[in-house]
Amino acid sequence: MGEPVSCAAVQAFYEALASRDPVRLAQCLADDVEWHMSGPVDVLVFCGYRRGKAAVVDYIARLVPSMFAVKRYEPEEIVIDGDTAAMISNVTSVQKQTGRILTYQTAVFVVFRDGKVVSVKGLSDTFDMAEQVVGHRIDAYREPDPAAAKDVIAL
Amino acid sequence: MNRVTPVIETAHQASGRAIPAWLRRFYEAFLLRDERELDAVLDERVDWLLEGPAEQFDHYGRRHGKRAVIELITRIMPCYYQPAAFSLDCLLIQGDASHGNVATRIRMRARQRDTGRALSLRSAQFIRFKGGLLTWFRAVPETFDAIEQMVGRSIDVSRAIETGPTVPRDLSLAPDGGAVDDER
Repeated sequence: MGEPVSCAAVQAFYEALASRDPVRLAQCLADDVEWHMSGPVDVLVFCGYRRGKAAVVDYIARLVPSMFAVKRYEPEEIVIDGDTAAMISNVTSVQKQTGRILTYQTAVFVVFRDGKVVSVKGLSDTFDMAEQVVGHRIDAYREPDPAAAKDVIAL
Repeated sequence: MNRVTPVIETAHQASGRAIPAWLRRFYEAFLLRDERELDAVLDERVDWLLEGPAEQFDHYGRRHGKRAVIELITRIMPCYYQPAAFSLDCLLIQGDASHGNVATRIRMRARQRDTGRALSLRSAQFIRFKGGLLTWFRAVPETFDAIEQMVGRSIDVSRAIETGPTVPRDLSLAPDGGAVDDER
């Protein structure tokens, strides 16, 4: 582990994250920051891997807000140990395309170096998120339909 | 009870920190499904939440109290899989067993009961200890990946759960006991 991170640095980062303000975010991130949200990127486009300050700021301040308006970002538990902070949060967003309200929990582990964020790894109940994004309950057990004749292409 | 030796590893960022005995005791009791040890580790009023679609996989969801959590770990969860090992990618600890908060990013290796398939399930776990007992547990698993592993194929998100009457229309009864008129 590196140098212990201060509560103030952790707080500043989470406030910048909630604000979606690119200037505040850029001040908190290291140039080589890595950001990884686990999940199915074909269903939840905000999942996946980003590297570098510009890519991460673009992701948080432009890409995510273009799809979701975050209305509430409320930490439920924060644990800080050494250079790393972990937080579990309750989030409420509005899906801009449909106006649907999404509520979900997300957990992030954030590593700091010299007061700047160098790594963020996030996990969420992605099945629940996918259901909310597509707008219906997903039947996990249902087998896919056999290919219909119209779907078969002869080469 | 599972008699296999539990495997609890630390890796990456967690490697610099040994797992304290009070936390190891919980994870070992979990892996061994040891009712006596779980009884000793869990608080009587433990608040437990494993995020996930509980209506389709009933090991997900909220449990209140020691009895319910022990039943979950020893009887409900093994209906889906047999946990074999925990690998902690990240381990954060504030305080100790008397009053402590723990956050872990963890990978559980397990064997699916029905198919024998190996599962590798990722989650973030937040745990509170008080007076030497586990009082609060929150886990946020990567559920989409977990469920794809459990059902053994990709999930088609267009597949909606079919909702509607659970009683076939021709068996529905009118309030007076007569058959329902289809035109109603």
